[in-house]
Amino acid sequence: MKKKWTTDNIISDLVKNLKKKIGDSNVLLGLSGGVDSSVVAALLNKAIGDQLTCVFVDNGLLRLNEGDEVMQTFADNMGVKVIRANAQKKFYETLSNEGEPETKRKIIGRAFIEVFEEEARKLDDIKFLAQGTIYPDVIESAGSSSGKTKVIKSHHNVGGLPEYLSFELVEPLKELFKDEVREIGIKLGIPTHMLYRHPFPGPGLGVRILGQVKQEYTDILRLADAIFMQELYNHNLYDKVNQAFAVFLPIKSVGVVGDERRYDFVIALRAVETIDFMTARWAHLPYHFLDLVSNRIMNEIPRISRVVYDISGKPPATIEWE
Amino acid sequence: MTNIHLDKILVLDFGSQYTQLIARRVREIGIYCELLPYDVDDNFIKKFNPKGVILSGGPDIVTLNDSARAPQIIFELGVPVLGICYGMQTIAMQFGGQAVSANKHEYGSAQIKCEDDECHLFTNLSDDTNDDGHALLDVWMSHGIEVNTLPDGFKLIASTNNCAIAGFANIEKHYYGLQFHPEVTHTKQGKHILEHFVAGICN
Repeated sequence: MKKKWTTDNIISDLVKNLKKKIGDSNVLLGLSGGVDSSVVAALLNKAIGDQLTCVFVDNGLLRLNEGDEVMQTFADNMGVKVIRANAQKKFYETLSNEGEPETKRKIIGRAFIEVFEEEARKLDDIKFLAQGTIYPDVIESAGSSSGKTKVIKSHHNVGGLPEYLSFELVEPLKELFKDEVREIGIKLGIPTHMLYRHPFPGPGLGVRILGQVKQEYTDILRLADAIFMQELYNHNLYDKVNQAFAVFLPIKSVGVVGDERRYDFVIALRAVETIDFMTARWAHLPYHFLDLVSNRIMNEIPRISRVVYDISGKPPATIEWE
Repeated sequence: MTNIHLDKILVLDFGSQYTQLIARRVREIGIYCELLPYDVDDNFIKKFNPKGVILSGGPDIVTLNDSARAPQIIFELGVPVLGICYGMQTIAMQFGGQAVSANKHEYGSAQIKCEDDECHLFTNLSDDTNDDGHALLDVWMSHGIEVNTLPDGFKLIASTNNCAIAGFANIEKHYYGLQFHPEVTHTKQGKHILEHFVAGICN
């Protein structure tokens, strides 16, 4: 057989089919800055240009400069129509006084839907909703079935959009594996570091601040996380670990600054090596590297008195702290 | 315009942890494939119209009566079939061969001796050569059951020190079985073996 399944051929095929399916209708996409939605945005932009409108929800729980970078990559460089919903305040308000991890996750998910829906309603004449469903999401594995199975399982739906927002779905990546999606992203000009970034949870920094989420805490955590990432890149360690991040611990620990005792917060650093994220071992990062990151965090960020490194494996610990 | 979905391979999943790797390797080679459960509807398979079928490994014990079998329809399509690990064992059972619990379980690296050149799976591939001039390949094994009697019309194409029948083929019908896993990177020439199957043998 001839080898026709190549990145260039896949892109032209997808673009052709998207054009055919969408015609001159308008498409809405929730852009998160993650790999899948980013590649969908770039593909749709290539296929249908300004018939695409993206909504990017800034929930105040993103990493440092993440929102600006999404806007720069897609709006400024590619010319994609991106509506940035600055909903930080809404998220902080609905999260205030809530410390229970599962409830926090639910609140963040619900607030996202509300903001997205509000933006969608402002738009006229949207027929399609695009989603970054990929092939592993739709594969039905053997063993999940008893007896003869149905041919193909129904596709994952949008996380709980109300029914009256009745869009037709467009899922251009649903027959592709993640590595194929990344290859397409590279060809379409998405920066490599966006495509090869460590996984980031949907609720964002909201689950990396233990207990109650406050803007003050997210501001601190964002800076600490950025220092950690920057140094991982500088020391060529970023791609050697599979996930790394900082966690904010809202406990007061004593420190001494000058001659003064001070009680301030604690930052925990976490880095793991894993193949499938089902099991993981803590990354044995060099001491001199940890020393450097710890010093930078305590010197450059006010209100941090202590930095600790998480040496727990999964199992029994999980990778994320909440 | 090129129809990139026209020539395609069907990968039937018997539940191996490596099944997705088979599909990814086939795609990397440059050929479209889809991954479906082994007991997918016959009509789907007919409509899918694959140019070749790959049967994955799986956790079942092939010698038990109610263990999983490849759907008979794939042997009526007139296309090449490659069974990997459990996939090989079920081909053996379905064509009158036999399998047994292996005396020595094999998990990890092994070396196969290529016993036959006619089958084209191993053409021009070798990691080493033995004194008799046979090509040797470094492969990854993970099984406790092995085929001990060749099915009718099949011949031996590979063996290891522990496993007398590590690969077989029915050259005429283009049915192949490999006890090792060509889809994992520990099998050094694995991608080339799969390439010989999907790009060479399947047509």
